[in-house]
Amino acid sequence: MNPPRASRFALILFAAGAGVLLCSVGNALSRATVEPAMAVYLLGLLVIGLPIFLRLLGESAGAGERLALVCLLGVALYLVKVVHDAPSFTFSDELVHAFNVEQIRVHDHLFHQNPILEVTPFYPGLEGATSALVKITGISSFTAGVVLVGVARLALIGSLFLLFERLGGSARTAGLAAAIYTTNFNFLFWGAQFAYESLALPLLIVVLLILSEREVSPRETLRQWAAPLVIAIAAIVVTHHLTSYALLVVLVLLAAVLWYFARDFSAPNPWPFALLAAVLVAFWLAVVAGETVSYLSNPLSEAAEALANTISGESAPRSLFQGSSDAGPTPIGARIVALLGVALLAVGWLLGLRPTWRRHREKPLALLFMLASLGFFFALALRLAPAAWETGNRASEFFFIGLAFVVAGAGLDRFGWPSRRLAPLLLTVAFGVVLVGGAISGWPWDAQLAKPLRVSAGSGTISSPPLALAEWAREEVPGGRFAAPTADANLLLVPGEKTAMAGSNPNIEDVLTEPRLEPWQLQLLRENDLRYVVADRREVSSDGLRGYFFPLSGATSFDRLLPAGAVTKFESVPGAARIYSDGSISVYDMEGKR
Amino acid sequence: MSENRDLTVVAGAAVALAAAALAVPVEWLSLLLLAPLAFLLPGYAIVAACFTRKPPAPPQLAALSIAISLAVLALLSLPLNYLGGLTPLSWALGLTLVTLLACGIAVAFRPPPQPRDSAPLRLPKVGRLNAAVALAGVLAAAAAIVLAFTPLSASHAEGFTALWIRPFDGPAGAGVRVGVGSEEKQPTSYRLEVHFAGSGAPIERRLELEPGQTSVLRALAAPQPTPGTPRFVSATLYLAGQPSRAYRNVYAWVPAEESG
Repeated sequence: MNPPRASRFALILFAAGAGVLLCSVGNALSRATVEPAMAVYLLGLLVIGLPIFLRLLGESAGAGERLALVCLLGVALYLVKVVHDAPSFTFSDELVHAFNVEQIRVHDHLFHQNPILEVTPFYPGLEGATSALVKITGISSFTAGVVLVGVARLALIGSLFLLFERLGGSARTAGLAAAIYTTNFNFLFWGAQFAYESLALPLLIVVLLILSEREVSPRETLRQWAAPLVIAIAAIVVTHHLTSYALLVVLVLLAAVLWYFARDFSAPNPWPFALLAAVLVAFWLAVVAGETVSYLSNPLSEAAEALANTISGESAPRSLFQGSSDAGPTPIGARIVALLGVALLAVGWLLGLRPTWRRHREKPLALLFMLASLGFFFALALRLAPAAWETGNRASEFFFIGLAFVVAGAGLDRFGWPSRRLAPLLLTVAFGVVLVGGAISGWPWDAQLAKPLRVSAGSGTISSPPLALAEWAREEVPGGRFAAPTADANLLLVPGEKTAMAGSNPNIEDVLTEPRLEPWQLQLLRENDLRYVVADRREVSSDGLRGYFFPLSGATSFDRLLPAGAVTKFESVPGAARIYSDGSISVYDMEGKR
Repeated sequence: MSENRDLTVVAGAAVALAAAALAVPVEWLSLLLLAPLAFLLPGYAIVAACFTRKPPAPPQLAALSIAISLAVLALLSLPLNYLGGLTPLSWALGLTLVTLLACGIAVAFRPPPQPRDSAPLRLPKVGRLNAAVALAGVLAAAAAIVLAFTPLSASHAEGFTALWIRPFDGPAGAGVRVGVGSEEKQPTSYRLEVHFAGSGAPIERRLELEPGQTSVLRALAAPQPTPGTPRFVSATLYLAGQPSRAYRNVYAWVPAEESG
């Protein structure tokens, strides 16, 4: 009698758990400022991804197991982000959105002002949803946000698999495509953060799933898809501006392509839903979120200008892997892996385009995906233009849906080089390169791992300088509006529970960094009713990704200081009081003598 | 009613879970109870109301149930905002009502029971070994999360000390609260001096703080400030090993507008 053997799925689940644990250990080593944190973390990513991809490549798994495998992959990779951040949010946008949740918690209503990203309260889908968990259970906005985005990730990856399966007609190809999607630059961190796109994008994919199901449904049953479609469209409109515009474009294109094929606007042509989306988007923009226009027009016009300048040679192209200038360069090996990952995707795309066209050219959604896959490489080119790289980076998450579909259609399941036996292993290694390369391309090298925010010392726990400031402000400064560098301001929002302004509009940035006090600076503070000024000599304090943590001995990014005058200039303001000092951070009460 | 057993279960669960999540004072338990109501039941009920003749296949049904529940969460906050606000009760009632309403529509429009045209959903059998291996994976992920929540010592992190001052105006008179927060990595000794302008010798205090510990000194102004003439006060912190070199300094006026 043979000894009992564990099933492959059980072993893969174990590997995924072990991979998450390895990633957590990597982050823990990084928080403890001990090496070799990065190697352990990258190993963890591979331990999660490779067994799942290998199993998806094989023939024997059924459709249900493939769905379970991609869900496992999506959830495990999401946990990598969770173990990076716990026990609090540390991404700039997350703190901004968490502040909106706290505002709802305190006031019981939506649409309260956000001092840093003014447009966010006007898209309350994410925060409204999170407030349900926070209000009913009493949990923190961090826990509620992590759970909500986790469920949204599950919906995303599951819906993506079903969408690809419906469109491609193969569970095997669908599993591979969904797995390839998880290698997109933003899957690991940006797309998993507590921010409005993290809820809106899964809903967009659900809309695509519904459209694909609807297209193959009998005519008399089409009406039953209408309500889920309307609900999902409306939810996207109130959750995220860019995703709602992407949705509108998709619906209009689909309606146009379907009309082109059938010369008929009758169902299943989705034009009524395109119209509905257009009306809802216009209504929301005109009545609720008018500020979106200025919020989006500036970066988009800057991106267009930067692209034009780079193409015409007026400005030099942006170097790739350019993170913070202080953080040190991305190691050459990591750059090679990232570039190799993109090259492999390009090869997969080239190989996949023709068979995908041959097999699916009569399916409007598949055509759209092929177009989107081309868009991915255009978005990649945007990374070379200095002010456009962020636009390109964000767009790639949408375009990657198409790219994953096309690459998976390249016949990965039939790949037989150098032999039928070795081919799956080779493809799995390639997947590992693309997975790790995507992680490297999507997030700065020095920010891949957690940094010390709270540190165990003796019998207690100590907080980093900006966190200690935020905790002090929460306890000791009732009310109060602060002018602060970005990182300090974000923590003053949450957990500081204060109103804090930062950045260049209004120009708080210059108020806090210029070594001399000018009359306009005081006027700006008065006009914005900013009684408290956080003067932080750490240059890194203006960095919304790196400025939250303990200074590390020997780390250049934390050593750099602003001129002393940037802090001491406030001492010359009559009646100003220095009410807090920790060596690098001082807080001035500009109305101390009242 | 056997054809509507699923909806009966969903409706009953929605009411019970809403009540239980509101009533249970333990946060994580409340979250566990709320999760199905927030992330599954409204979506399931809405899909059931839409697909009265033949529900989508189980995978599609599951995906739609979760996604539509998320959409309901996002959308429901809008009407609640204008109907008294987003309170625990309004959220629980809102989610329950959406679920019950959709269940009601589904029941009303479902055709009479028909012979099953598909095999009932069967869960795969899981042997002990498989269950143990899978459980080990889940435990590893849980350990990963626990580790992420655990503060660790960091040899290269640099500690610091914060000094702060807040004026107050109480029944016994006006003064200041001066706090010393040690975020140093080892026990640290300090000497704190608080000096009111116009008074004689400063108030002096010696402190020994453990990492993470804060000490607050409450000092009344002497002499008390007169109305309209705030009194300047400064606090200076010295490290025990460097008695002549000021380590931190803060200053304020008493009384200020706020009271402590």
